[in-house]
Amino acid sequence: MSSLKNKKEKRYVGVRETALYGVANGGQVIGYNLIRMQLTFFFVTVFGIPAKAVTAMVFFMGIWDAFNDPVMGSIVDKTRTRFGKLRPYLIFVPIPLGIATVAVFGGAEFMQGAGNTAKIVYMCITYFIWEFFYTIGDIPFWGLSAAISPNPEDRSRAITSARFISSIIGGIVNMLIPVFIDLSTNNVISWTLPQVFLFMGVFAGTVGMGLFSLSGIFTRERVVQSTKEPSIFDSFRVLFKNKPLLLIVLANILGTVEGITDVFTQYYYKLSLGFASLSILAGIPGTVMGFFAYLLIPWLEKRYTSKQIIIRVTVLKAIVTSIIFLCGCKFYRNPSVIVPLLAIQGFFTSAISSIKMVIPTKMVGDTVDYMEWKTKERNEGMTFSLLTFISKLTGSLSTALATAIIPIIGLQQVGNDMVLAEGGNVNTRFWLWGLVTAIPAVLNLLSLIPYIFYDLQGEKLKVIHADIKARQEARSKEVSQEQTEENS
Amino acid sequence: MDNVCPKCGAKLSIFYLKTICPKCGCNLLYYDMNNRLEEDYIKAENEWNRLDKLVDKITPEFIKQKMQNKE
Repeated sequence: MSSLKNKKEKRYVGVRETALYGVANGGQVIGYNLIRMQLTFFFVTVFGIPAKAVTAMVFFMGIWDAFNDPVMGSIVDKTRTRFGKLRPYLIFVPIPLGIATVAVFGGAEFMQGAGNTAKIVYMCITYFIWEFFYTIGDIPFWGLSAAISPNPEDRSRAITSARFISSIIGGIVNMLIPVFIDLSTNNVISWTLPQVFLFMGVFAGTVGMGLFSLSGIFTRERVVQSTKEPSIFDSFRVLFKNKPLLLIVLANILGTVEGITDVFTQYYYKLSLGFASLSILAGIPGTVMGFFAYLLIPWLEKRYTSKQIIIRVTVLKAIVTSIIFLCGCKFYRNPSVIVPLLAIQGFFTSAISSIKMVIPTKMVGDTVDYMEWKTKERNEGMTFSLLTFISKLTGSLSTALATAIIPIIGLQQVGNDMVLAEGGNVNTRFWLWGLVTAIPAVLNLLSLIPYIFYDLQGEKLKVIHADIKARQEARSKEVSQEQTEENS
Repeated sequence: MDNVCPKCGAKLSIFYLKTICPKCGCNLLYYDMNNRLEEDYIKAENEWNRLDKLVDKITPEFIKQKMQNKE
């Protein structure tokens, strides 16, 4: 059987391993979504901590992340164990991370009757521990996508499985959380809100982390790491030599503007169309297509390189949103025209988002191979920590950018609500229409500039993978021979 | 999860993390790696083939014909 296929086309990761890698990511996002979606509501409304204290903690944790992520990445790169350098974290970290999740969301129940200072201290300690263990689990998880197989197609399937399954599990969790909150606040169930959050914390900490640990137990690292452990300084130095990775990072930063669509979508529906819930109706085709788009990825990969896919989908998004913008230019206040238009836009943009969830991650894996080829050092930890950090940074930047745009287009904050500042010279509704359609996608074309210089594709990438494969085989033979000779 | 040495077959505790077998001193990660990769390849191919057969069984006939025509 082995002679039938060229070595570099061989599939080393089976159906079970690919699926379990995805299920593990699904388990991981249960706790992550709980934190991401309910953090402020839980700490302020359920736990009773002053909003200013929560905002200050989130701000300082953001700064801490900037240092935390690369340090964790370099620690991962220094790890050498019989399971590899990534899997030990995936096997053991779910246990403390599960306990930390229960501690965070059990706080309101455990600390009943405590003073504000005690609650703030409890929140800071538990959230810091949660964040620490989450990072030390997340970096190896995505690093494993580059180490699970020497075959890039195996990696692509593993990443697709992770994104696909986590979006399903994450979607279900996102729907169930508000249902539980409503059941409790309307006294349909006898649990108080602190008890509801304790339950959700226990669920995320046990079921979620149980699933997450599958990524360590049922996978294998199939690439060769250097025997020498790189120092933290070496890891940083090597990172700055990785030109393709730096180009991807630059493209991500230039693409920050794309994220402002999400901020303005809710304002557009509420203030311009008058019904926030219309977004649910318009979002249905996009939600469905978002799942199906994952099936398109293997088809796209057969025809185009990763760089070509990114360029095509980014341009396609700019074209589709521009057409939608032009079609709705005269009707942007009319829901009966706009909702179908935004549904069509969502159909395309959700598919593109799903594709962009997979392809850049795979490209980052290619840059790890590139550095191994160039320096004989693989640095999955450092590379994926940079990616994690950049995604957090661009998230914050796009929020900051949107906040800066708000007064310019004539929106005003009144109390906790955003209102249209009527009577000004600016046509706020028109600007909102542009910001939920063409403007971000067209400006996002700037993110393609770094890709002009990105050459890690085609023949070059094939040569790199073939060289790495040959080195890996030689290393394995060398180790096996040395030890056979030692014994004889 | 392999908890035995690929060379001497010594049992290893899950908490034993060193890269060297405590009994024979073999490199637990890279010893015989080529053969282990080959085993993974055969196992993976079998799994994907089984999945392909299953997908083939549940795919409606007209879709199969369309795909054949395209090929």
